[in-house]
Amino acid sequence: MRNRIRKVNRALMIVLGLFILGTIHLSMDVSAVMAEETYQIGVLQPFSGPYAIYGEEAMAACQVAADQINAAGGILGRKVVLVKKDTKAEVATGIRQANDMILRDKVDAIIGPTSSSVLLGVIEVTKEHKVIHISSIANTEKATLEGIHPYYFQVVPNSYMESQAIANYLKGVDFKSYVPIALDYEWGHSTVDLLKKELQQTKPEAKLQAEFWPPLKETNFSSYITAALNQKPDLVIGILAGSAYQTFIRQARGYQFFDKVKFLGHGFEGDVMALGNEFPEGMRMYSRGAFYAVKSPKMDTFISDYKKITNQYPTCWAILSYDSLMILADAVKKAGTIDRDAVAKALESGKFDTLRGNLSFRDLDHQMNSPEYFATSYFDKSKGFCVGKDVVVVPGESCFRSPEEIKKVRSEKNISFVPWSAR
Amino acid sequence: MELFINQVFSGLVRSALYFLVTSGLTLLFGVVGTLNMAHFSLYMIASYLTWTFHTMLRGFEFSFWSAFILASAGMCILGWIIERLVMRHIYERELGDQLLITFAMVYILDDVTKIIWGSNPLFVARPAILTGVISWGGISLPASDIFVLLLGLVSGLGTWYLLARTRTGRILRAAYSHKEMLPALGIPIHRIYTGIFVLSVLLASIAGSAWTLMGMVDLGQAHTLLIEAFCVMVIGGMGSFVGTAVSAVICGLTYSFAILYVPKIATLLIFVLTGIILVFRPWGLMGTSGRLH
Repeated sequence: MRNRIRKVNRALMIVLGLFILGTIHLSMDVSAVMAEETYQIGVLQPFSGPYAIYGEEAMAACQVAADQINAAGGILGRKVVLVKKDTKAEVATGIRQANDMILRDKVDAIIGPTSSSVLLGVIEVTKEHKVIHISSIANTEKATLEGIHPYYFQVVPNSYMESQAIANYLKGVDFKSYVPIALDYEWGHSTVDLLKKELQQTKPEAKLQAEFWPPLKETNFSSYITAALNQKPDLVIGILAGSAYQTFIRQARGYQFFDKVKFLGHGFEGDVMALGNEFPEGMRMYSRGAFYAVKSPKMDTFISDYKKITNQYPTCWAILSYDSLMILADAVKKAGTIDRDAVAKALESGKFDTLRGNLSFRDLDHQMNSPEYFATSYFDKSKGFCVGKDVVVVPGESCFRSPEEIKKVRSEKNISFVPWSAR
Repeated sequence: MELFINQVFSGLVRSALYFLVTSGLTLLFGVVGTLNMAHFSLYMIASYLTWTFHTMLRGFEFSFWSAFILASAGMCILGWIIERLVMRHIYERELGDQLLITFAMVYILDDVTKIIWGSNPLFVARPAILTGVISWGGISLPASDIFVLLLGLVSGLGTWYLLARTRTGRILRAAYSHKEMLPALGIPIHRIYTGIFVLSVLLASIAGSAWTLMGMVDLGQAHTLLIEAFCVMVIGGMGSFVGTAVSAVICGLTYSFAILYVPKIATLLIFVLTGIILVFRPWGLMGTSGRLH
């Protein structure tokens, strides 16, 4: 028995020794890093759970941006260091990790997160600590309309802009009746509500025949597909996302859905690539940053560098995340300092050369005038998945909520936001 | 008429999936009295295994069918390992313990799945025979959905025959109702339990492989079905195999027609139905305190 206890004690001592050695080694590593002047950027995304794919793509794109910046001498001579934290797409975890990044890792700025609900939590943290915060994926309009603070900026087109862009695009599409199928949560409802309102004005002849609201976690769309087909509409608008969207496409193909009705859905590249040749040709699709829609040496370099890391073409999430980090770096250079107030002012007032062209933030809500891309799908044999042709770019400015409306909403909700330009 | 048939068909396909996913769970609960929360994770792993074998056999003429069989075999082995390592130690434990332990398995299996297969949704190309539509009297139905429907029918009838019409079935039923008698007759009860658990995993595997024909192989595919599947079990009667089949048909058709007529409350209707059953007939339509039928 004594021998056994001795053995256990010895084992414990060895484990303890290793732990102490590990801690010393880690702290030496940290000291080495800290000795060099750095600009630390937190990449706050989901890296586990069903939304991890978005986080991985954003991280890879930020890594490409950081590598390019560091290869060119860093930001104001400082090396860009990425600090990666997992939100698990949970509000509480997102808030905790944001606090951790700011207080423990001392990040200078945060890019993220993916889910709108997490964004609305994290934005309160960055507001409290006055940390530069850029959203590249989560796109709820509530962030720019209500949650807004002087250090928050949104690169991704917000939910209002996207609905408006779809309505603008549909003005040029011939249809007399339509049916929306949208996931039953905030994004689906806000998009469909605005679309209905806009179409009533711009296309009064278009009749809304029915609307279908599959639950967020729906996996079997057969009954929705047959019900929509039975309405015999000219156009079906799909406000669906992720694997639910991919499943919808697969099941709808089985019912020859895309041969029977016109369909407009998103063409987010991750979903399109995942489906390969099962993604329908001739489908109208939209994206927040389609790599095939922009022909420029800058985009070619990004695609090439991104493929080196991931072995795949970039999605709109990757493009928006890359742009976010590059815009931040550009703003720091323009400010000539890493002081947060100066960087925020530079972000608000600057024009930025992004992968998607020259873009800027509106001072009223810090929303970038990011365009939305519409195209018709066709199968590209060399790539093994569908890309878009006949691209229509709807500029961000044409989709903004009007300043009067913004002021009205803020006044009703007693929200005060003073842009840097008005200070 | 076309409208009606389309909606009935899509409702029955939904029923077939409900049934395929829940039948193994019902079987295990009915015979052994254990509620295996990890059943849905096993269903998900079967989809991933089907994808793996299908990818390995790409180019081979019968790649999907071979992947289907290999995934089933692989899942039976995995089921046997899980039974030996975990399940046989919790059969006699309280239901609360069983739920806690099998729920822990959900997290373990989900994380292991993510480590092995990553977080990207994956898809299995349908075999040529299931890519088209079958047209009849002006109605066109997807061949893959017809296959899933038939698979649900064959699995259901096959398992029902095994339970109701064979000696093995009698022994299995006795394992629940006359548990003490079986050892006296020289029948090792643990082997019966192992067999039942592996059979339940096989049913989950068939459901998982069938799912690859309809949707994406995805980390979230198990969680999405969990609540609806439990509603199906509760309505049919926990542990009642026939009850589960009847309930799956009721839920599938209710959902399908609700989408057509009252789309905003389609999901709600299933839960209302479950609530009504729990209030007025807590043992379900065909259940009797968890006994297998």
